Amino acid sequence: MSSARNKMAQELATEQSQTIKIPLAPIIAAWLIPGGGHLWQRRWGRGALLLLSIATLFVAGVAMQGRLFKLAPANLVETLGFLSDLCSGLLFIALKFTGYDPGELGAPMADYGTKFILVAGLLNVLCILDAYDIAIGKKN
Amino acid sequence: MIQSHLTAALLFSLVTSAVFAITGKETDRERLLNFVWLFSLFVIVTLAASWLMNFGHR
Repeated sequence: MSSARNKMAQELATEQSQTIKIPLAPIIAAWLIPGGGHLWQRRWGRGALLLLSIATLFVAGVAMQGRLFKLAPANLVETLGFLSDLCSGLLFIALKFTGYDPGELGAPMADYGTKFILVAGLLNVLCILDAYDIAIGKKN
Repeated sequence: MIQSHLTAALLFSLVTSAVFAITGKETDRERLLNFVWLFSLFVIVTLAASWLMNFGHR
């Protein structure tokens, strides 16, 4: 009786250790480059389309002089905006390194630009989750 | 550079629909149909809401 219980416990532990295994490489690739998780897993067409879409939105946002959110723990909205921007991965990091700062919202389309940059990051979260689903075999 | 609200809204609709369709559906056919459906909805709702706001401001 106890041996059967031990066997069941072992099987459960094995199953759990298998399900907990997180595929880090595609997730990191997907965060750094929009569509990168799909490209990593040889989903070339989907990866290229996602990269093109999100990069277009991000670049359009910058062209419209949208602003980047800053990390400000005292301001929840600003911090959430920063986290969303950060989800664009290398696009955001590269832009930060260039010292991009459009200043106050002067241009008429700048508010649109800010939202474009923000949404590019949020859409990349969807790409990361999709890449994760593919990596664990939940999706093709 | 994008100067018109309509162009910006269309670009936003295009990109968002594409990403939703690619990540949300399983087959290429489903993705294409879902993209067309989402893009149409985005455009129709944007135009309808714009006209409503326009009438509201008169």
